[in-house]
Amino acid sequence: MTLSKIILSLSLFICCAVSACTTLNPSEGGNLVPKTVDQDATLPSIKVNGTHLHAETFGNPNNPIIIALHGGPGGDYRYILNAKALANDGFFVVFYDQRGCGLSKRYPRKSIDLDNTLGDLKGVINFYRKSPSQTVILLGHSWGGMLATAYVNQYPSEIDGVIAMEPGGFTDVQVNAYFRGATPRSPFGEITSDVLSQEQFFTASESSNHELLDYKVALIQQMGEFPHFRMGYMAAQDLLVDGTKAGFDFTTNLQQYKRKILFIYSDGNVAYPTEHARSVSSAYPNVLLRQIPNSVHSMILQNWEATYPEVRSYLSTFK
Amino acid sequence: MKTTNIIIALIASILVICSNRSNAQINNWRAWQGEQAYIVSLQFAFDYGFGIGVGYAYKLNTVLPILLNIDVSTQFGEKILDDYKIRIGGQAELVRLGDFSTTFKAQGIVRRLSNHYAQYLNIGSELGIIAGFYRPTWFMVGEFTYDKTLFTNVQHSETAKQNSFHQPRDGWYASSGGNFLYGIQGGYSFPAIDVNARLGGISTEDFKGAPLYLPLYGVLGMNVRF
Repeated sequence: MTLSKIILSLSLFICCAVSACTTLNPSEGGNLVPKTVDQDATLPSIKVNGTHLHAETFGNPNNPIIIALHGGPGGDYRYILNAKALANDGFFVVFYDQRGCGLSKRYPRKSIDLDNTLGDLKGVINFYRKSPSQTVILLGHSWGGMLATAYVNQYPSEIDGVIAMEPGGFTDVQVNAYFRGATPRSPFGEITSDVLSQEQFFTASESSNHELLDYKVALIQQMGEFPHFRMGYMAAQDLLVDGTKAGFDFTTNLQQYKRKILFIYSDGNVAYPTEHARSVSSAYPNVLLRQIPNSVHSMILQNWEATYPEVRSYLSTFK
Repeated sequence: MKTTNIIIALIASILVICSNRSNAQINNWRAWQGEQAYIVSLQFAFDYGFGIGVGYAYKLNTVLPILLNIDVSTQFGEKILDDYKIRIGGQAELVRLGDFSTTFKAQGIVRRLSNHYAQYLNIGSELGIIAGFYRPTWFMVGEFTYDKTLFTNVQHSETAKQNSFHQPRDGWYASSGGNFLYGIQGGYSFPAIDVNARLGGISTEDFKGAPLYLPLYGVLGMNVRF
């Protein structure tokens, strides 16, 4: 009887205490995740290719353009902002969050594909390029390097240079080999527990709103340890999961691209040995392959000091 | 006795009002013998992650068979006890027709998760119906449970705040919904020991999809009755 009274009192107390507090809405932008450009007009943005993208630029717009492409798919450009230092080297550096990513506009599942993602990149280039003779260089990290290559494969004459930073692969076979090389997570490990357990705190399925899904994927991707704006769950699913399942090959036309590209990879990513870097980069006929010492996959953030000299040396040929 | 039943009904009502998802005591109503009134249990579970749990239950000596229970579980990982779940509630055998029986269960849940991003403390509830066949030496039943998060307190880590463009807001968050768990449970009973198992799937409450990762649950357990 005493135990029953204690339980009853405790239940009543908890209900009353929590009800008395103002509760936040997890599905409302600005609470767990920031608002996107279509929800917050103060954010810097551009409208291209029928979409609304979060974008920023650094440097003189008349200088050679560097379009910085973030990883993921589903990431954002905040972690690659070290590259804005290239503005001081005489370049006009453009950052944008890809469709459905970061603070760019969101779309329902199955709405984002390679075609509209490449269309967005074309739109971004056309938005900032002042004349056809203005040099355009693509700098892509991870998935960004894959996207840069897909673009060059489709529009080889439009791009003057490419910096690809440890792209997983340029074909689905290479990407799957890369994933297989990653150290598997123990089912009994802390990270696995964290990923699975969070499902019971904010329940969500793919039919849920973007705010919840983007927040949950940030937890799962360990994004707390990286500077970030906001993950894009749907973009990751559409491009990575569906794209890899469907298969892809970004190399079909790459032999036409005779310009030199810079391909860099880390020495600390066990899933990315030199053989893989050689195999992936060999799709380009003219490659400068460089390994960055004391670095991991996120080298542009983790060891920009070692990455920057290689990037600057390559870019010096464009001035 | 009447007062006891009223209190139990009130507790159950509170749990219903507060109600989100559960892993209640697995119980064979027909295996209780003589003066037995208690269960201690040990469970190895896949329940939103791999973990282990212990439980304690008390069978009330009432006309309507009622079992009150509390169980505590934690998930495997390098950090022990940083993630846990406590469930307090009960189950009552509402209908008995020969070997067929229907049981209603209601539990309140307090659960905590701590990771690099934030600490989460959730208050939830779990309501369920269990129906199937019970014999003194075995049982096989179906279960349907509604697990709803009610309120979640979120305290983001300093690292997460420093690395976020907009600092995520700390505080109490309203429910984002709940999950349905559907599956089977069964077991074999000895005079003082049950070995049992649960297995099933998870769907979100709108039935439009499943949780993003591994929408399954499973339990292997052992009860000692005394």
